[in-house]
Amino acid sequence: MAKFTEEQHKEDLNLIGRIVARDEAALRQLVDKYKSRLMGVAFNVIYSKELAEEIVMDIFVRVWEKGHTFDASKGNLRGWLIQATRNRSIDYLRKSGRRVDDSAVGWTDVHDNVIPAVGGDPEKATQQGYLAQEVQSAMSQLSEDQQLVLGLAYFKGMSNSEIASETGMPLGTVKTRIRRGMLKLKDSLSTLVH
Amino acid sequence: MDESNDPKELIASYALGSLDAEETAAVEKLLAESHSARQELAQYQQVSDLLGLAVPAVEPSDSFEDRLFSRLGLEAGHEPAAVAQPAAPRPQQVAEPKPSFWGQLSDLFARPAWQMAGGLAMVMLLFGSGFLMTQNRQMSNELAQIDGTLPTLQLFSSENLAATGMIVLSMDGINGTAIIDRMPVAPDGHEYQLWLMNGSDVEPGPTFSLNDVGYGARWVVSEQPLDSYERFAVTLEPTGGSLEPTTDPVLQGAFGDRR
Repeated sequence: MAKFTEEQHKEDLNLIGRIVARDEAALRQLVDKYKSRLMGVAFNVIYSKELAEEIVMDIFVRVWEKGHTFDASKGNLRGWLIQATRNRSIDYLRKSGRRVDDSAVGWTDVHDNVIPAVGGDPEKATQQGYLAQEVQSAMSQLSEDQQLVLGLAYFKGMSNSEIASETGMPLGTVKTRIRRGMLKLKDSLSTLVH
Repeated sequence: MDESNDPKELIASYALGSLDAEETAAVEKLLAESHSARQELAQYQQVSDLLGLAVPAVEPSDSFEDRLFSRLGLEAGHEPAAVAQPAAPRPQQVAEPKPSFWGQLSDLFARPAWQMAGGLAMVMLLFGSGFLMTQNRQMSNELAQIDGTLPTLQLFSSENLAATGMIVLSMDGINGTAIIDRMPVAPDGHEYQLWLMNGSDVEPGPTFSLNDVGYGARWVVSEQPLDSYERFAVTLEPTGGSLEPTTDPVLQGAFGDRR
């Protein structure tokens, strides 16, 4: 899996380099590769497919216009895209004043076996699916309370004190559950985290 | 201090962005002082990046890509052949090449014996500069690894034109994209073409379609890894490209060139 992620990283660096050089074909490949993943992130923040499409579209426009700002020394392109999508979705959620649904955290059940389309390449789709499954499997090993606090922090952009207020958990408990949950994920995903 | 308020215990929350301002300041103070804290944060940030994969993928509507590319002013639903396709220059009926930069380069490698000494000196010079270029290329690649940018090579005008160019290599040096900018308008029936050079060997590269400000970009596909070529040049050629250059370079460059 580590070899696969390294190959993906190289492929992504090639794509972003070509996109910076205004290669439309590279942008199309990137869109094909990540659109459904980014849609998943945006949808789990704002629960509207139409709004999620607008946000993900904004992200790809930003890649086309500002791709040169991507700094590979700070992380991989996939993480950059996912974090940008998450941040923009949370900004929208805050500005719109939409009510946060704390029961809808949205972590995939590992048995759902979701395999996204990746540019019509079955091998890559399968590998991407395995990568997602590995993360989903790690998430499934957390307690429900740990999954809940991580989901509210990650997808709803809530602070620890907001999570405590929303769930009725003591603030110290929220902090501890986030720390232990992230620590367990880090250990479970040690082949992907360096 | 309550364990849950110890900045060391809040690094995971910091990676998720769920701390209040006071806690954020405390963690940032720790990060400024502690290498191990920075390492721990880097790992939690990687975990945070991966969390986006733990939710179901959602397919956008069928019109998503058309709307996106329309918004970008790009033609929807078509592969941009001018950029995406590798170069395949076709043979052209061209005028007899005049004694030129290319002729001189070729002559260097086909001199009579009485000129061998001079030729040998030039070969040594080329090998020497080749060695330096290799060193520069390695340094350029190493710097790229350090600062995370892709290796690049600059192309300079040989006639003090405003024209300029660049080749952006993939991190492994195999592929790349050539960009030229502020080029003079090509005469009717002509376009600019890239050349890849090793010693006297000159391999044809892609031709460029320029916009109204003289900008064009092409993906470069070559027989050898792109970073194995010593020099690159751009010439004006008959439309469709040539198998050998027919005019002197308007742009040229090598790894490590500086102006």
